[in-house]
Amino acid sequence: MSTEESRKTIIRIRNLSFKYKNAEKNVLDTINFEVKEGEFVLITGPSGSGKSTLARILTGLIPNSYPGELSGEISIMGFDPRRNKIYEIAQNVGLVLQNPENQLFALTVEDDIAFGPENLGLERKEIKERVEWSLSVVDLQKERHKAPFELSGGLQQKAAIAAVLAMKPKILILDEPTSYLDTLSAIKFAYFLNELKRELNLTIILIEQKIDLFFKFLSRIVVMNEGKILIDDEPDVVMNFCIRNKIPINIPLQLLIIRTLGETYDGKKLYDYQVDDYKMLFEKIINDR
Amino acid sequence: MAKISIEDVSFSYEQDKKNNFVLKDVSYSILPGDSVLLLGPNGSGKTTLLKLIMGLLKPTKGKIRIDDVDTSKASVFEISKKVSMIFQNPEKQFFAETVREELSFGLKNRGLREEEIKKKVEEVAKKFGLFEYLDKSPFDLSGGEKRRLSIASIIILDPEVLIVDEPTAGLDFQYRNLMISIIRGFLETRNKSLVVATHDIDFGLRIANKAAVINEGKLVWSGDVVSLLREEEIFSKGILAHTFTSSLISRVISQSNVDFQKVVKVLEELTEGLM
Repeated sequence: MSTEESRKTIIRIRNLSFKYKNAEKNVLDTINFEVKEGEFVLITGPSGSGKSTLARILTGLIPNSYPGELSGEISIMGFDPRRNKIYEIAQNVGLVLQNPENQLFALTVEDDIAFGPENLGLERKEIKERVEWSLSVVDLQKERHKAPFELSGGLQQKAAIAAVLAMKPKILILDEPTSYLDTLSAIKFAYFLNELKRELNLTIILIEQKIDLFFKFLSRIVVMNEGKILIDDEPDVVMNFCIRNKIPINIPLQLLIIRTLGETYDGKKLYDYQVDDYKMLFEKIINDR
Repeated sequence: MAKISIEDVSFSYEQDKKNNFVLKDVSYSILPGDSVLLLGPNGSGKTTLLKLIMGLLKPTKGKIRIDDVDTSKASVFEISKKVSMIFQNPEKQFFAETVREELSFGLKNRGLREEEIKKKVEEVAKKFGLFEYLDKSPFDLSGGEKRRLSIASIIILDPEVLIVDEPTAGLDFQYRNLMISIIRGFLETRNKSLVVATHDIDFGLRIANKAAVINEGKLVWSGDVVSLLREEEIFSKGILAHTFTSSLISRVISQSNVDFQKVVKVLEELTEGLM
């Protein structure tokens, strides 16, 4: 069997439902979801579908910071946010938000990275080592004494990740991290994230609308809608399902072109095609009209 | 219709350290009917330029004129009669107790009659799918509804120039399409103009006819959108990056001479197959 099969399941969720305090209905409705060690899972779907709520549960912010009614089984590397404190979960699961400005607050990049380990009550030497390590992983050594707000959006997002990595998490959860990045920074960020995952042997759960930037790196795609999981499968299977059922998500244009011509494709080949190959296919579509 | 002239404008946030310019010697004109895509990397000065046009900041050097009015001598209220801006995360700026009041506010300020205001508010609320929420608090709306309300409260003012900062950041597929139809609806009226600062070039290509590129505070390129797509240097220097979609459009229009509008239309049909 493939290595995927033999990998350990590190997140297991069964029949999970959640309703925010004072809300009328569940934001998550009997969700079942598993993640294996080393996977790169992308979660997408319309706003309000429950993606960020799921991230808050996986990081223990729900129910610790956001009260509400939570039911079902939850195991995040053996932790359950109803029984464990946020800081216990934070040593295993790191969260990176959409806007790094909401996450960075110290006067220098270095201080921001040191903040988490300091709060864990680690020894000075260990804190220093972790700061050095995090800075080198994201390649921000030169910016260590700068104020976070002086950095460009792409570098700010890296600083936010460095601060999370200093907690040495096994799982990294990112909630629409490219929203405020320019195209070039976003493309670089996708490659950076994939490299990071390989180097540190991380498991990544990425909430994202821009599927095409990450498509070739993904193990699975999960599509959510109105608090439920519509489909959770390999990227190709999910995309075919979404095209067939007209699910409004950002299908990579490459797939739409191939599908429109009625050609079959296999996902591996998708990115071996060059832009000029697609240009030929696209012109065929134009001429057919 | 209004004409905006940006004349040799430089700007520094630190008034005493004038060598630290966020914008340097920018000159550009926005004419009636222009739909301008303002592009450039993070931190290049796009939002600063928009705030200068709105009169929220005053140029350190040079001047901006809206028709004959110098923005550094005009009040923000006076400027806002012609130019309105939709900020990033506009939903953070609600203040009224009901959706109806939020939508009425700007019109009341202009001294419109009660009945006229009621008619306009209900018309716009219907168009934006907010009619049933008119008497609800803006804060009880969902994220998407809040976003719609914030845009509706600007569109209702019927500005001559609409300025939008990063309209698609964090928007899902459907709201991004809604935003496109709202902006196209606005541009249907003759001689309205639009300035949109965005990283989302695929979105921009669907609504703009002109483009201006800012890098490190300088205007490094301006022209029509089709010429931008034929431009190689801006992209090869890494000032802008192509997405898959924009590189495809660029190749099709420059190598095969297919009409730009036609390419955009076919691309939209491909994605609309989904809807």
